[in-house]
Amino acid sequence: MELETMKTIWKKESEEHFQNNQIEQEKIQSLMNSKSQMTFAKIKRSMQFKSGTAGIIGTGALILAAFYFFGVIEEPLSVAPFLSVTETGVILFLMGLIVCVTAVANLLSYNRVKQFEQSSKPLKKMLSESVTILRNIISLGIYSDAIFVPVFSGFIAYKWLFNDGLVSDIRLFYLVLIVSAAAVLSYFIASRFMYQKHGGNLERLRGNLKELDSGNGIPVN
Amino acid sequence: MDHQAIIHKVCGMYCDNEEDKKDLFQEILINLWKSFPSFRGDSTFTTWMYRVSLNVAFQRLRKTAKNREQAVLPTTFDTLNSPGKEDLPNIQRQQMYAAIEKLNEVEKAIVMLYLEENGNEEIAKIIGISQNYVRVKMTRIRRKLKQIVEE
Repeated sequence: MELETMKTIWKKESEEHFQNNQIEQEKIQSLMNSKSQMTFAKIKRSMQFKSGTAGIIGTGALILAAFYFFGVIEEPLSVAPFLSVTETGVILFLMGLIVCVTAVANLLSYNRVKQFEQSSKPLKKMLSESVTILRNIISLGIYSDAIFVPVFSGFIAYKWLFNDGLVSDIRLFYLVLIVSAAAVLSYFIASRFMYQKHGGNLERLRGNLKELDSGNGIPVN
Repeated sequence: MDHQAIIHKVCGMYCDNEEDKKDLFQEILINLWKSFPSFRGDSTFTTWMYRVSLNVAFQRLRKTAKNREQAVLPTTFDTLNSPGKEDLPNIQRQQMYAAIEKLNEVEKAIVMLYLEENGNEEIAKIIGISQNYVRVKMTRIRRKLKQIVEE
């Protein structure tokens, strides 16, 4: 079918169908007020929730750590009675810090997605930006999920290996090995999870972007 | 009123069932509303609408059978009767949609803009590629459509 023939059919089609299918103003208004189910809108909502909850939890953990450091609380946490008061303070401080950094990173990403949603750049530019944003979201998800495992397992391993205090011997090597293994494993699991969640969409966006790349495809004679 | 037709056409181009069309129509409306402050008048309102509508169509996550079941359609949309490719009486129309269906998402966008009587300059502005590359793309699309018909 020639494009010119298609144009004639399309024009007729537009006149007959599209112009007669108008939705009333009130319906449009109610549709605009509903929640968007777009990938980025969903990601944005999830980031808003994550940054809020992580901010509260992180700040709480830092305050609690300060209580341990300044001797306000003198008993270790009931969930980790094997840790001393100082160790509990240190682990709470580390966890709080990580959670707060995660909260800030989520907030920054949230703002970026919001700006992206409000822009109306040409298709190629928008595809390029969406690929970058999605890649950043995947990386953020991987690192924020994976970082807790090596920190926590490192602490448990430290407690188990150096119950009598830190000494520079073979046990230090074991500690490094345990932390490294935990880091690699948690990174692997987190990336698998994130790519399962967003990988398909990322590939589709990349494919469309590649299609718009002038250096791609067969040359035209 | 012409502006609503733009949304209907994008929905018709990228969705093959009524449920998807309704969802995409709604998403385009929401995004037009969100991005309206970014319309500064440096392009025509129609160009801006095409940009936003196509961006939404491209970023929309394809629905799986699972979340298609979960999708809740707005009751306010029930009376909408947008044109479906399946109820087109004319065989030529069916052939046109069958040919378009075989194009990829980018080609569909370019063809739609071409069929909407947009010139190369306008298509280049909406898609974000050079006018020369629009011409290259059009040549490839013509060739592809010819192949589709021959098959």
